Amino acid sequence: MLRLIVRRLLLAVLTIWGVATAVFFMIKAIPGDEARIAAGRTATPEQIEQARERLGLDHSVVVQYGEYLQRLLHGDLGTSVVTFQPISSDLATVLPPTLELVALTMVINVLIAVPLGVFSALRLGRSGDTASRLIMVLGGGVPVFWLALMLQYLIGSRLGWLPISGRNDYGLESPHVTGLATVDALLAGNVAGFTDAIRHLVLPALALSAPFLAVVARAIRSSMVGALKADHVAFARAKGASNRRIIWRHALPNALVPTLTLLGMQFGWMMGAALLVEAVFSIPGVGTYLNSAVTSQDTYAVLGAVLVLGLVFILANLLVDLVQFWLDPRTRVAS
Amino acid sequence: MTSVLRIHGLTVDVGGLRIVDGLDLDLRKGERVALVGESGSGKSMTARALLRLDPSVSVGGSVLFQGKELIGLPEKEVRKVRGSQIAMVFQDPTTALNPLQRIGEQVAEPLRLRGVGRRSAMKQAAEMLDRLGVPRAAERLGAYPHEFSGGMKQRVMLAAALITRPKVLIADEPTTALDVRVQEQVLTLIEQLAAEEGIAVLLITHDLGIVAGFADRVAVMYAGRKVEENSVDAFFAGPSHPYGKGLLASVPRVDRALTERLDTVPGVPAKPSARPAGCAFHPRCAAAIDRCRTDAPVLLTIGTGQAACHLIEEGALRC
Repeated sequence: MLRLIVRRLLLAVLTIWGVATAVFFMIKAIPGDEARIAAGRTATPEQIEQARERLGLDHSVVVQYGEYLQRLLHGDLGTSVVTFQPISSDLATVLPPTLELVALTMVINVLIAVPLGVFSALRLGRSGDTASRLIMVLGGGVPVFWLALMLQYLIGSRLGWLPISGRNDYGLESPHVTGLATVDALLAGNVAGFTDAIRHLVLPALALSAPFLAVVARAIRSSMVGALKADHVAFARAKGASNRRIIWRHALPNALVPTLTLLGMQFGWMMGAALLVEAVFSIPGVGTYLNSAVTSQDTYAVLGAVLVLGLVFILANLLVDLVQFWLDPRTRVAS
Repeated sequence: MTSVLRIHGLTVDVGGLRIVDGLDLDLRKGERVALVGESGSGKSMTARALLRLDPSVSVGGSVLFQGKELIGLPEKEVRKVRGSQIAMVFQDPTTALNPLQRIGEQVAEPLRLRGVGRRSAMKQAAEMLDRLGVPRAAERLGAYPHEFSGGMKQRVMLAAALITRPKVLIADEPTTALDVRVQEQVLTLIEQLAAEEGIAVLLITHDLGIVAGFADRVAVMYAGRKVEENSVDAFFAGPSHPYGKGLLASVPRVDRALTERLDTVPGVPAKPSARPAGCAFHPRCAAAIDRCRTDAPVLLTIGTGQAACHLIEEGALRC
């Protein structure tokens, strides 16, 4: 068991190294003078030469690669040509809001998709199933930014039930510790601030969850249909188990195992798709940062953000692997 | 002897198709009855219908368990019978055990469902597994199915079925997924426990080879109907129905050279969706007469048993 976990961790480290290498060669593949890119468009020739020297761009590619990895290990992702801040500290500011948003999106995703998929499987071929599948198709087909705008307009603006932008109302912010508005509020014992932070997250998370929960609900539905037909479910029924026990105890856990892998990957995809709602709800997250970095040709900032998104993707999948070890005894067998 | 299970005119319909059509069968206390037939003959559906395992399947007729009618009983009442009075084991122990649950939990489940405390249920599970020859049973309660061999898994399933001391055990092809040596062990175990506890066993199988050594009585099903029933001795001495004869002739024998071609029943089994008129077996029957093509034969008493064949009336079949 421990050996398996260690092996998974080593594999994760190896994958991160792979992503870092890919990012390095992406920099190399960008046409033009890298020193000019690093120094920014408005740089003077002296500044360009400074950048060339600082980044060791006059060395061979192999040496540059080594230096690049070394800089990465020290958390140095370069300097933004827009904010003039180290990109790592920029990312430390924009990552928490997105993580918070994606975490709540994941919770909503699971809370809606699992019951919906189970319900659909139990009503297989009947009107309840058809209705559930209609919701899945609509959820999967509706554009996220449109849904975000509609929720913002209807629930936020017209009904005034929830805030329409930002992370906290004025005066409810908590001192910065982790950068996560919810966690910081809890750390400061600021209950009103916590509720306020959650209220700010609900609409964006709801909008972002739609396409993801449609996929998860469909996956749950089909694996649940299979699980309910399984011999071990018939055996449980023959032992005298009630329908409720059969659904929750004998079929659902088995149906969740394959879905777990999907959830792990979705976490990474959500990080990428967060931009769509961050823009609508004015959340200063990774998506917004990446978007402005692209439009202002802040190449190192773009690559830094890509690297961090890759890292989150890998860590999410690592977490899923560990949960799977715990849930499915068959995966614990070292092959 | 009194019947524990009396099946009368049992019908099973799946999606508008009649899979089992008017089956009669009696199971007396401690008796071992084999229900045999080819794939698709309705024997497995009969087994599942007795416990009403498939909600989408409509079951008709009458099933009396110790004088109590099970057909038409509300689901909640049927649940009290399942597992505690009538237990069932399935064909493939690999798929019939939940891969995510511990062995002990799965064996003890029928007791836990009936309010037995966890410790007591686990203790009884260990005892039952031990009786069924699972080595170091108490230590292995925490193991998962994938850590067991096929034969051991079948013992685990039997332990879960028998832990409540049921009156009837329905065994649906319990040895089909096992290798021959393990088949023998598992059947011997079922036989022993059934004898000790006075459990009636309904063995569903397509393998006549295991019937001879195990059952007291044989019923043969074809296309959803019982075509023959007799004591094992009488059946193996000479079946009355041409289908029974065909089945018996197609069992490989040690006293014949391997170079000889094995006898087979010609043709393919009748499908429920295209059941031939008259006797469903007539297209494959070498002895079929005109009447067989139009009239469905009824079960007639012949010798110690029964058979449904026009040739009996015609005097063409001997007892």
